[in-house]
Amino acid sequence: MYARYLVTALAAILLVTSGVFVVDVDPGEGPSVVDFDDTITMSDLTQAEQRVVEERSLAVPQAEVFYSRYRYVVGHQGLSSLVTELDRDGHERQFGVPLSIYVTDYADAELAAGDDGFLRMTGGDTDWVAVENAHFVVDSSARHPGGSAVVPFSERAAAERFTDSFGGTVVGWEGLRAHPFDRSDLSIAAAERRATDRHAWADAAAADARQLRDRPVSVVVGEDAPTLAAAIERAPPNTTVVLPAGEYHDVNRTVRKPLTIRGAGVNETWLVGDGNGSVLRAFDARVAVTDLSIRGIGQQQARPNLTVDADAWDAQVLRAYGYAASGIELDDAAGSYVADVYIDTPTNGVTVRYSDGVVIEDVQVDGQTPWREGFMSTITVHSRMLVQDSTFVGGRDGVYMHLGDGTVVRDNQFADLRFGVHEMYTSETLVANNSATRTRTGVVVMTLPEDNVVAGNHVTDSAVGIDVAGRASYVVQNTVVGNEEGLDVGSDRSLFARNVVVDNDVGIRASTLIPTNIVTANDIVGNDRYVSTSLGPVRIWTDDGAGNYWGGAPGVDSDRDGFVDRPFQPTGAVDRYAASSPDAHVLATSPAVQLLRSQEGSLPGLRSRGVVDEAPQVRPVRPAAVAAALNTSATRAATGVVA
Amino acid sequence: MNGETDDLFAVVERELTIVARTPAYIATAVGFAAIVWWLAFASSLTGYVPLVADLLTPVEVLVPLLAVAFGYRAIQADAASKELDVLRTYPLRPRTYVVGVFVGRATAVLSLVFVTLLVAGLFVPLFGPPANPVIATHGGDGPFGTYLRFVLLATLYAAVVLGAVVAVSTVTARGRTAIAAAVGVFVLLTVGLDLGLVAALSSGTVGPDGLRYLLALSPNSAFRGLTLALSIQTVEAATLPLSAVLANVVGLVLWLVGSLVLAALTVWSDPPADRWRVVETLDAAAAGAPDSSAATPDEPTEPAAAESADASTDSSEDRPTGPGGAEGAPED
Amino acid sequence: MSEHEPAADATHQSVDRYPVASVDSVALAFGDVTVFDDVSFTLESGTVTAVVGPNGSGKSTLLRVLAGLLPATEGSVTVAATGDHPIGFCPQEPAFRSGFTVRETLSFYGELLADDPDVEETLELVGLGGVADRRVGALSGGMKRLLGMAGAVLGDPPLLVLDEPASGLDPAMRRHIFETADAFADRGVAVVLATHHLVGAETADRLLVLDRSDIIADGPPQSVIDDAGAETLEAAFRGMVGDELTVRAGRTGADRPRRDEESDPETEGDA
Repeated sequence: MYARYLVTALAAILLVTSGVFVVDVDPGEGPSVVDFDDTITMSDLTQAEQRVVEERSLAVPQAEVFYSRYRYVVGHQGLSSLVTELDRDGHERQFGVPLSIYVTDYADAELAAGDDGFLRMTGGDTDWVAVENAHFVVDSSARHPGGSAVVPFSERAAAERFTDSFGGTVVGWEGLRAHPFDRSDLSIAAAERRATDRHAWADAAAADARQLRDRPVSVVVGEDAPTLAAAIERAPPNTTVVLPAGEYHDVNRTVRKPLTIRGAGVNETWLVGDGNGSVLRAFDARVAVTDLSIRGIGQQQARPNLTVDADAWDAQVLRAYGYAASGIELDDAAGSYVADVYIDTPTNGVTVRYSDGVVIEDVQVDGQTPWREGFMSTITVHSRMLVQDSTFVGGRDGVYMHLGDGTVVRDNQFADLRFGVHEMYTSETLVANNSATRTRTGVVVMTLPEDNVVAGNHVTDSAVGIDVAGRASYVVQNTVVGNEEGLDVGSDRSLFARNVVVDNDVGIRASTLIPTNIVTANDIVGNDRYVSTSLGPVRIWTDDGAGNYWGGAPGVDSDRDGFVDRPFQPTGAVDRYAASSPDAHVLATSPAVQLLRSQEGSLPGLRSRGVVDEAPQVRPVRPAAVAAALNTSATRAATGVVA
Repeated sequence: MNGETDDLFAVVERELTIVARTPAYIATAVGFAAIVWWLAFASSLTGYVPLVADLLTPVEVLVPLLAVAFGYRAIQADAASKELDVLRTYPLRPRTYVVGVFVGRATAVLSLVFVTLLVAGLFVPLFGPPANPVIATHGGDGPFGTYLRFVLLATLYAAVVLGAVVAVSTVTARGRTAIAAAVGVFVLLTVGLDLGLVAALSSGTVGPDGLRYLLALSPNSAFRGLTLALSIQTVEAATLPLSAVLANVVGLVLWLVGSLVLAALTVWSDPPADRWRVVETLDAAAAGAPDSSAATPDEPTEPAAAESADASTDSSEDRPTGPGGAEGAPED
Repeated sequence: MSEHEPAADATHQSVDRYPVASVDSVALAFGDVTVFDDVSFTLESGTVTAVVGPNGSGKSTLLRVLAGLLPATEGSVTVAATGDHPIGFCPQEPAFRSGFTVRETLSFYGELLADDPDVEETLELVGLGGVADRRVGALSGGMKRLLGMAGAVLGDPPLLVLDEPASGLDPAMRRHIFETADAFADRGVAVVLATHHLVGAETADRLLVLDRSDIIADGPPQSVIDDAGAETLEAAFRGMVGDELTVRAGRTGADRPRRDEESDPETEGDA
């Protein structure tokens, strides 16, 4: 009677295991707070601001969130990103609901504001408190480098004591959720608004700088003064020193008054250095250098022993890049102007330090090839500058920004460099309508800044087209053709829209662990692979019912709403070949594939390495741009020459 | 009297032995396991909850298929081989027979579903991609318990579908329609009932509010609802009242019990007592005159009602073994 | 068989006979088709009763009514029995599950009975002792009949109902079947079998001739022959049912075969 034993055994197993319906399997049951450094962090602060926090030991309230549908613990540095992220459209879709949220508890800490106005802990200890039990002080005078600080306490009394010193009001978790925080608006319109504002600033800066061409001529070198040095010495402020055609070896000069130095034209007037240090320096506001060429610049790049008055991390960068030998070196020279200048340099071309409103236009810088031997064609540190209508060939980076917030780089040409535009610790920039070719990366934004706009650029034949890190940034209307990798989506809470991604080895690479970007209305056509992903969850690349145009995506639009009815998985086993193989289309509609895919878009936060577009576009979003890009691509392929 | 349990397990063992000795069943079992494992392997295996989400739809199709394969001939084969007529003359109650057949087949099917899915769950720790080691993970991908819940729900679902298939196998036992009916029940369970709900919803017969409890009427919707509520624990499912979850459980149990009751009532029934009965002895006087027995008009042991005209109406409902019908009239 | 008949008869006579089943004014109709009408007879222990009649005359149906598998429309059937297996029934061309051995098949039935009948003895009784471990799927048609008879006789029911046990078999096997039925009767069982083999029917203790929904003759074979004034049973039979095609399908003449008789005879799989 083996049946009796079998049935009994099965019944017993089923009965015992059914106990699992009684025990709690809630994944969030009592997760303990983890080391904050081990979380995936979203921050109110840029990396530049974070460096300040580290260096000055500032207090920034933190949060740890355990989501039901996201396997990693999400950390927040500063609480405004916590509140805005929880409210973001599509957030729940990617992350599920928060099972528990803990915030820093300052009840047992002594807090004070330093001379810089930032909040510090002067004694005591912090702990963690669940948000439901926390009391938050908002609208106080307490600040961190990222802005006004929301400070949580586990005890109301402690929160009220804090308001005695810092002002503000005490609210609960619900009150904090309702508190108005700046929420970034990730739309094309928002990107265009920003671009318009920044173009307007750039136009104004350019117009202002061009006035420096109108200064009266006071000294003509060779006529009124024997040397450039003598001319600078002799010329009164706000006049023009003219350098007639010829080579001038009288260099390594420093201008310390607002002068305009004008040559007879590129290749007519040459300033020739002796291979040591910078050729021309301007250490006063509103200096202009126009219509000349420079060569003979020194080899020195890093200045490791230089004394720099800055936070240590900042000083380190300045010594590394900011004091290299240059064709023109501007320091504390706000509103200066470099135009119609050619520079041939083994190191930096134009270096701009602590000088807002510098305008560089119609300049050509030839750097070293290969790029490893060269340096920065233009570099701005601690300055907002405008670089436009210029050409950069060879060298390390075309435009390098360090703490160059608000800088505008537009309508330039970059070729044969490491990076065309390279942003470090720099926010609120506009990089627009530039062309880059044969670079490592056409436009690269590093170090988690915020609110950068990269628009209308054209990158070809590079290892990576455009790679933007940071948050609340806008990568729109760019064209990347024939690169190893077109776009790198490495940012968070940012918008990637209306880009044309054609004929790259990999169209788009998704590299962030935290899936908060909006990727929509891009045209991805003719790439060897649509998308590659690094470790991380499945990203949904559809925004408000609108996805991207994936060339060759299988499926039909039966309701004529402009979107293919079938979700597209550019990383899927079958869909990834949709562009190259018509047979993939046949397989793609098989029930087996449908069965396999049916749940791919669900629980994206718990899956790995994938992209799903739930509403692929039927037609290209920018058909003319796609056609032009395909044409460029064909020409390049045929002639081997960059169009 | 032989215990009913003994009879039950005799039938159970007979069914289990048949399953074990029929290569087609073994092949079906291997195929089922292979498909489930392949699907599991092809899913991202990042956690138990995603695996449940990935396997939910395939299981909704594959489990009924398995149940149909294992169940559609269960009783029909005994009818076709006329063993059912032999069984009927033994002291075996119809319900014992039906439950025995069901338990026997269910032991095979449920074990298969349970073990196959359990093994698929092991793929997560065995073959799942490593989490980023630098970054802290927590239980967001769900503990094994959530997966075990899914496995148990799938096992229950298999039992329910098997019950329905056994019932259909019983009802159609006398014809050649067993396979057609089995396909019918498969289509009904996997899409038919849900399509009916969709139709009711789109025609306005049922409002979205009424949907909650109507879903419990469709076994696969009930199974899906339970999985979403208890295993995947989706955000939407978390808002459902306990009554909705219970409705799904009740729906599944009703299907199972209803199927078995239907099968037990249909499989066979003894004739009514005034038409056919067993007594201890017949009148010994009759033995003395065997030659005249052919015309015996009135057996003293027979009830007076034997000749009453109204006895032609079938009044067998009061018999414990249920009403007649399966044998009663020609089907056409 | 004739040499066996007197001996069997003698043995039967020596047993104390008593009534085992009583069929009283039984009528059966499917809708407006009357299969038989007002049939009455009594079966006694230790006898073999053969029900003969043209095809479609309702032999099988009558046996199913007798076995309690089919309710009569009118009248009643009473069976005298005390055990938990009151009636043994062997259907026409029984198939059984092909994956089991002969012994397993019978043991299963044995398990359903309370007093653990001797399966081996029953197998010996029907002559299947030598193939007890053979799979049912590998049995000849005749062996399957014997297995069906073994399943019927298991637990010693006082009444055995065998539906066409010998049809379609070769003469040797047919003879063995009838001998086995006789052997059952020798054990005191009332055996009733349907057959259209008159040669076999001649060996029975009693004939019930069924035609046109009625019993038209009832008695020992020899008296049936004598009553018909014929030389042989076949001649007597022809005299009774006529020379025309011997198919009967109820009184209205409509052909309504039972659905189970056209069932797919295949068994589950082949092991």
